[in-house]
Amino acid sequence: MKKLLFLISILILTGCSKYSDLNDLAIIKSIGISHNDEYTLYAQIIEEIDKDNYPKMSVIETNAKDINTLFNNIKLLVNKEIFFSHIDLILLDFNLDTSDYQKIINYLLEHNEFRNDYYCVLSKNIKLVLENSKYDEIEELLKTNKESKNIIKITFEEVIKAFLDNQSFTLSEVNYQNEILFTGNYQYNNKKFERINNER
Amino acid sequence: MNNLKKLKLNQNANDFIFKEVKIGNQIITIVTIDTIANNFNINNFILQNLKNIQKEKDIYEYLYNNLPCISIKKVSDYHKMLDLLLNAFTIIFVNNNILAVETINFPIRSVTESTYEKTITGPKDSFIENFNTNIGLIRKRIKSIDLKIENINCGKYTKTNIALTYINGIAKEDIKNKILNKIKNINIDGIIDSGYLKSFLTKSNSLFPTIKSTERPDVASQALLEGKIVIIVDNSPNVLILPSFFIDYFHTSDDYYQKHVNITFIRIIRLFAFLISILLPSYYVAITTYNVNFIPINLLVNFISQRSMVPFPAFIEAFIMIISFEILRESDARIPSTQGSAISILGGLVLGEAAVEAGIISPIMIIVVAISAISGLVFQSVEVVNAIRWWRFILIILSSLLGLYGIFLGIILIITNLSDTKSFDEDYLYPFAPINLKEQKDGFIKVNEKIKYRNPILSNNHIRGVLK
Repeated sequence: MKKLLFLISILILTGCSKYSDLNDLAIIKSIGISHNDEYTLYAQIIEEIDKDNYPKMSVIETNAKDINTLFNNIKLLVNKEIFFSHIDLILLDFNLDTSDYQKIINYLLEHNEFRNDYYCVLSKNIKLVLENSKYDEIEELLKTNKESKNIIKITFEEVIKAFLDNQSFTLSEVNYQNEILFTGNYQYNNKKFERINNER
Repeated sequence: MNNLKKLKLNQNANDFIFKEVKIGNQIITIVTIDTIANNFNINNFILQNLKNIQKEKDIYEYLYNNLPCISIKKVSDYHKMLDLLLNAFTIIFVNNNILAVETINFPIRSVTESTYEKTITGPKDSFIENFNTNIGLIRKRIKSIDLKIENINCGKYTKTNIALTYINGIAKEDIKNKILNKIKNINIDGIIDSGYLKSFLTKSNSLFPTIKSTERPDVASQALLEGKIVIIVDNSPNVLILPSFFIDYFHTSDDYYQKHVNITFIRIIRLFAFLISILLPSYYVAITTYNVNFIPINLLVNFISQRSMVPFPAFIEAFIMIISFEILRESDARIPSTQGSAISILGGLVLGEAAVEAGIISPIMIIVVAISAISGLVFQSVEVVNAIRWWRFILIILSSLLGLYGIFLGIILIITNLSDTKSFDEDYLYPFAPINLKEQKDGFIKVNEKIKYRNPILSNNHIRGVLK
């Protein structure tokens, strides 16, 4: 009996440390990062699910001078636990330079709540794209047009690998012009992006 | 005091009949118990013959030699006489000499179809409460002089007949002796059912049963041919098969009446059902509370939408559902069949739609618990179902405290517990631990072998047969 009580005490005292109910999670679907004077992080959150099981999305944004503070700040904006594990898409602004990439990659690799198999695209207006894209819209466009040469489907893992190996890589640009559109492809060469095909 | 006077003084029941018959100068007393003896036989074979006696010098010897009955005994001991009387014999007192004539008429039901061990292609008959009928059902299948039946009486008041059945030359003598000694050492007021014996025969700490109980004579006969010991208890429609191993509960009698490929498929399905039944609710609790990143995003969104109205944590929700299901199952087992449909409708409605509409339970939890419960019902043994139920609870508690890590701890606990379990000093997990590859050909898979072997743990007579 003493052994059982001891075991139960240990389980209760040591358990539940990472408990979080599904209803207490703010699931992030996509993130976007840009850099002007400060870094800006945009996060598209699955807000609620309507009667047709179609998730409604909302976008929150925060600014900070460094990447660490940026990701910490966003956790203060919502009253739920931010859940990054299911990110499907990362949008990167054209104004990010090599050192920014270095910092973003370092942060995402250091934190195990991020997976690196999400798609990576470029955008000039991240907030507009995230606010106007429906659940899974950009990801579906990437998946269904994988045969098309106009859209490059590349994961962030592949971007990291190419970046660390000093190789060139190509990203598609996504924009909102009354609808979500892929407006061109850009190759990363010599520390900057260069357009490689015409706009559609 | 003579035996008749002693009996008259001690008996205190209305169904004891004392009939005196005068033959010449002698008074013969017939004693019987009305409720269990066959009056027709007493009237036609005992009283009719007594009427025919005219002037016999030795009526006692005359009756012993001339009564048309195969089971007639001379008794001198009072207690022996009492035993026979209580076993529906009719006692004839001639002076102070005693004759006991068998006139058994215990109320019995006929052999019917098995109620909880269903079969698709196998024989349908099942054991009943009558001791002799049950032995007869086995004898009907094993027509061999080597089928040995050792009788023991157990229970201070019930004096229940217990038969230890085995096949001489197949079953191991030491296992038989071990079981026999255990039964002989039982000191209890009564044995009402074979289930009473289980607690005396095994001291296993495992939640899983180490003694198999069956109501099917073909299963008992099959066990005897494997070298196991079968215990038949009077007034019990279930016989005990021992020793039994973990793998035995994944086998059914149908497994030996069908093609081996189909049997392998079904056994693997049973293994999956076992794992689903134990693990599914705890896995659901773990992945929705600790390891959310295991759920694909679209499914996760679906889960969130279903759980958004539920005020309880997943662990409480699982407990509510499982307890409700257990209450339903228990009430379904106890109430008369005429009210069964009412319970089904009520249970289906309450647990199905109403609970979801009220926002108490999420639909996914109903699916999880239903799949888990249905998977558990694949097993015929009630004790296995009960063991699964306990482990399901333990794993849910562990997963609610530690997530998937808790489930892995639970699995280690189950394996350790099973490995530690002994069935009559034999390893319960045999032939997996200790490993025996030859025996595994009739484990979770079934291979059609040319030579059929017996389990070496159970028998020294290793070869069952050869297919030519």
